[in-house]
Amino acid sequence: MKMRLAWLGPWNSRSTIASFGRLVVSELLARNHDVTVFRTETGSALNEPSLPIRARLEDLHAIDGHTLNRSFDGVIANIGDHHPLHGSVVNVLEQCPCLVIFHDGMIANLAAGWAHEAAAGENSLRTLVRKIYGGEAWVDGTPFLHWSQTQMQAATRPMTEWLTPLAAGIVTHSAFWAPRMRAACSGRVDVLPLALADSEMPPPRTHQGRLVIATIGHVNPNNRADQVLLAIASDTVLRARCEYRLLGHVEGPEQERLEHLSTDLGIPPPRFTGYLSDAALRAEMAEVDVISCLRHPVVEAGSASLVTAMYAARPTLVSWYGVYAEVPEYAVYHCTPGQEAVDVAAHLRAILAEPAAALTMGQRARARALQVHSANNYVDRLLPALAAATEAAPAIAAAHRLGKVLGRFEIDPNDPAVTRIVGNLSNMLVS
Amino acid sequence: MLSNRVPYIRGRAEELSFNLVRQLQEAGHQAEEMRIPFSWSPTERLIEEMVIARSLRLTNVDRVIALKFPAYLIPHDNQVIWLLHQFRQAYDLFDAGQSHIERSPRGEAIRAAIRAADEDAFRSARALYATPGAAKRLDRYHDLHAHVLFAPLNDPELFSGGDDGGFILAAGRVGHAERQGLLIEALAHAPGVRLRVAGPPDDAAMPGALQALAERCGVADRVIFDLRFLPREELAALVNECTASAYIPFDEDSVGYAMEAFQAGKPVITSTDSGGVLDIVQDGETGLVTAPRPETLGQAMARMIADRSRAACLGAAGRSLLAAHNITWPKALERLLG
Repeated sequence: MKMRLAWLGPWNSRSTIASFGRLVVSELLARNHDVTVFRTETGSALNEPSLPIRARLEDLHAIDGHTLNRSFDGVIANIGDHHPLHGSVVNVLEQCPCLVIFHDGMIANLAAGWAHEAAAGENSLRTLVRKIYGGEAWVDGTPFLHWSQTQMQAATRPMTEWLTPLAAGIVTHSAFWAPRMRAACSGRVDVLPLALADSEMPPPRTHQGRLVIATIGHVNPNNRADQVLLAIASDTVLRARCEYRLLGHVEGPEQERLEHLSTDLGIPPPRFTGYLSDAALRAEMAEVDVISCLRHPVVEAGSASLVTAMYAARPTLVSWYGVYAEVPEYAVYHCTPGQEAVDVAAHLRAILAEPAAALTMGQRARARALQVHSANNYVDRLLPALAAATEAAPAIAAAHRLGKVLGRFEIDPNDPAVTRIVGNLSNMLVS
Repeated sequence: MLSNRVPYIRGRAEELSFNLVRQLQEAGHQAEEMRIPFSWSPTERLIEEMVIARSLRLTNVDRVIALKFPAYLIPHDNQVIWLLHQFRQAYDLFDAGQSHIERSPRGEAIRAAIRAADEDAFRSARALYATPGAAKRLDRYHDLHAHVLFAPLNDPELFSGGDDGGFILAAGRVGHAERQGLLIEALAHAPGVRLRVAGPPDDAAMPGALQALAERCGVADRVIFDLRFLPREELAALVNECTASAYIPFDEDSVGYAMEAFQAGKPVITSTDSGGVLDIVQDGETGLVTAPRPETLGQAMARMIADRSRAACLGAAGRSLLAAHNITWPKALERLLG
């Protein structure tokens, strides 16, 4: 049945989530659905040119959640941990419970951006954290976000539970974050492998005794670039034969940290390319032999760089954790999370020693990516998830409204009246 | 215009809401009265009543004027509250030990919810008006300062005054809180004074009980009972004919009966614990204010009858006071629609 669908997400060439969106929306259009894309960027990110698509394209700021709810058969919203790309979705979710695709499990950066841009700054953020995680979760006088505290942040206040209760259903791209999403969302939670187009990278070369190792994408401290440097520095052979490149944007402090570390270790610093367009990335990849997809902690629900690496058919290093641990052992090289360097060094030595085996591993990864990460597979499972969310949405919206009313009356969530009223609501709305 | 509907209860508040709509319509506005069902029993049900009110939505309305709990919880961006009274069982009546809300942690939780809901509604309103008694409670319990707005008389022309018929009138609902029994007991201390009790009884046992009390007190020959709902014309005729009006409820907000007496140029006898009426009845100026005891009330009634020219002067002062306050519907509408 043809449906009128609203797709809420970033829609510019610099966003991986937008690339994912374009792939999925194209598949939905191919299946004869009528899709309108609503761009969710805020501020200067809205000035980025739109990706081409043969669907209607609107700015989400131009429509409110109630109208959205009334005007479409189904609404799909994309959430990622970057306020400039997803800022305008937050308020819409309050009015329009819908199917939400969580690209990240931790959404602390999004929450911080929202508090700063759309609410009362740190006070709003503190209120949120206190309500969701209790007063102990954010010690007074400490910053909400700090690069050195990502692990603590992910463990104590990832902010996942800020938006998951607003969803009528959730799609996420790994089993890792699913349990806490299920605990917080009244709708169905589906785990679907991320859909991503074949990156069409140049084929891997057979190395001639030297390795170029690359990390792709926006590099944060949890990309564990330092572990790759430690691994290279730990072995005389690797020092002589390995070169490390960071193919994507790196924040200044992180770049400085990695340069200082290289100096301390007595090895050349990595090469920093900065942001690369798809075409430039493809050109760079022609010289890449090994891809590092290390992460710790894991804040994302799905990893586009991992799927890109698998499509690229290169031997790929992953931390054995989160979404990265959900790829079979035959397709990627596993490393112990949090102390990856030792395993990285061992894997690099093996790749140098057995180039054919490494290439075979890369081919297996590509075969799996083609099989699992296609848009066709994704949409086959997305549509039932959307149907379930759309069916659940009215009851969830009513429960939200009720919760707000009871909140305004300052009634404790455990008050017997809450149980009684919610029970009556369930009897009324849920068959 | 938002108010409540409690089956079989019709009092001053109901009359006010009916007449507010009528006045708005006569002033050229489209106005309708919307009354939501409300039950305060069992106590636990109060939270549901509030949730229901808060969950309602009003559209296609430019201005909402809400009068009573929980009707004023219905959200609207352009709501004016004219607070006739809060749910007093959660406030002063609770403090006075006269509430059906139990003194227990559960009772406290329910009271807290009522007060939080009220606070939210009062602070969200575009403007907050209140009767004098309600305004005092807003100040006491919410630290909120409302504009005092008296309810104007609906038919002042009926209360034109008239010859003094030499009796005291106790008009209005007849019940325990209104304390007509106390007036009958007071009659024993006011030799020769006649009392007329006129109004609908709260329950079927009330007429017999009052008659028996009058007989016990030896004053049955000086009390006339007219225990029924009196049409306005009949009620006004009694007010116009009396020497003074006696109105001694326990802590009531309503001042309507006193205003009708003043409009007719009649003084008012009331007691020191009667509530809102004390804002307009001043002892020795527009009436007599005494302790709520048979002896003192009897003396007050006797003084009125003994010095009827003095009573007339007090009544005239009441009428002047009313005129000075300019408590009229056009004035009230101007404020409510401002």
